[in-house]
Amino acid sequence: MSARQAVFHPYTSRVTDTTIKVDSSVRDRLAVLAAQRGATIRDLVSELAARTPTREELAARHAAATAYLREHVCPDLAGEHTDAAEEFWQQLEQGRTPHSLTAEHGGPAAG
Amino acid sequence: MSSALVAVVFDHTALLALGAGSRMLSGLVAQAHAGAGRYIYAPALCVAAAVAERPGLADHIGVLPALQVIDLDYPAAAAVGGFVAAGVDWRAGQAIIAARPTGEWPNGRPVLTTAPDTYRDWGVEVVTAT
Repeated sequence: MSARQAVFHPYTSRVTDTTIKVDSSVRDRLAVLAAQRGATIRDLVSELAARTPTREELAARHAAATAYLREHVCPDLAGEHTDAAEEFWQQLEQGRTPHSLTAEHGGPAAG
Repeated sequence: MSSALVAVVFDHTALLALGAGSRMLSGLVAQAHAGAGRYIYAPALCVAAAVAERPGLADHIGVLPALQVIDLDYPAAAAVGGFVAAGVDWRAGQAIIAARPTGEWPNGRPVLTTAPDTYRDWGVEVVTAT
C-alpha cells in the first residue's frame, strides 16, 4: 500500500459522503463563489458549516461577550441598553438604518 | 432569528466612546453577538487613532469576535491619501471607504460616529451615537 493509500483509505473508510440537491442557480452561485476563493464547492460548504454557529453556540458567544463588556468596559450595562441595541440591529435586519443610536432611537428611520 | 447580514462601521470616535464605557455602544456590541449575521467593522486607521488615545481599547477589540478590523491595504491607503489631500481628517478616511458600497456590501455600511459632520460631504450613511 502506497503512502497515499495509507492515508486516503482509512480516511474514506471513516467519513461518509452524501449528496444534497439544490436549485441549479444555487449550484452555479456556489461554483462562482468557490472559484473566486480558489476552492471547491465541497470546501466552501464545509467552511460555511464550520463557521456558522449553532443557536447554542451563538447564545454562549452572546453571554460571554456581554459578561466581558460588563466586567471590562461598561459595568452599568443594563437590560434597557441591550433592548434598545437589539431593536437597532433588528431595524438594520429589516433594511432600515436608524439615524441615531440613543436609548430612544426607535424613532423615524432613514430609507 | 434573522439570517440577514448587517453591519455598521465604528469610526475612531465610536471606538473611543465605547472605550469610555458608553452604555448604548456597549449594548450594541453585546447584541452584535446575539445574531450570526451581525458585524461591527473597525477600520485599521480608526483603531490606531482610538488606541493612541485609549490604549486599553486594543484588548477589547481583540477579544470581542463581532468586532472585525478592516486591514489597510494598498488601494485603501491610496484612497485615504486622496481624502486627506482633500481635507478629510486622516482618522476618518478609511471609515469613508468602509461605508461605501462594495461587491460584498452593495448597499454600503453605515458609519456609527459621535462626529457626523465629518462625513457630511462624502455621501455615506451615518448613524449618530449620542
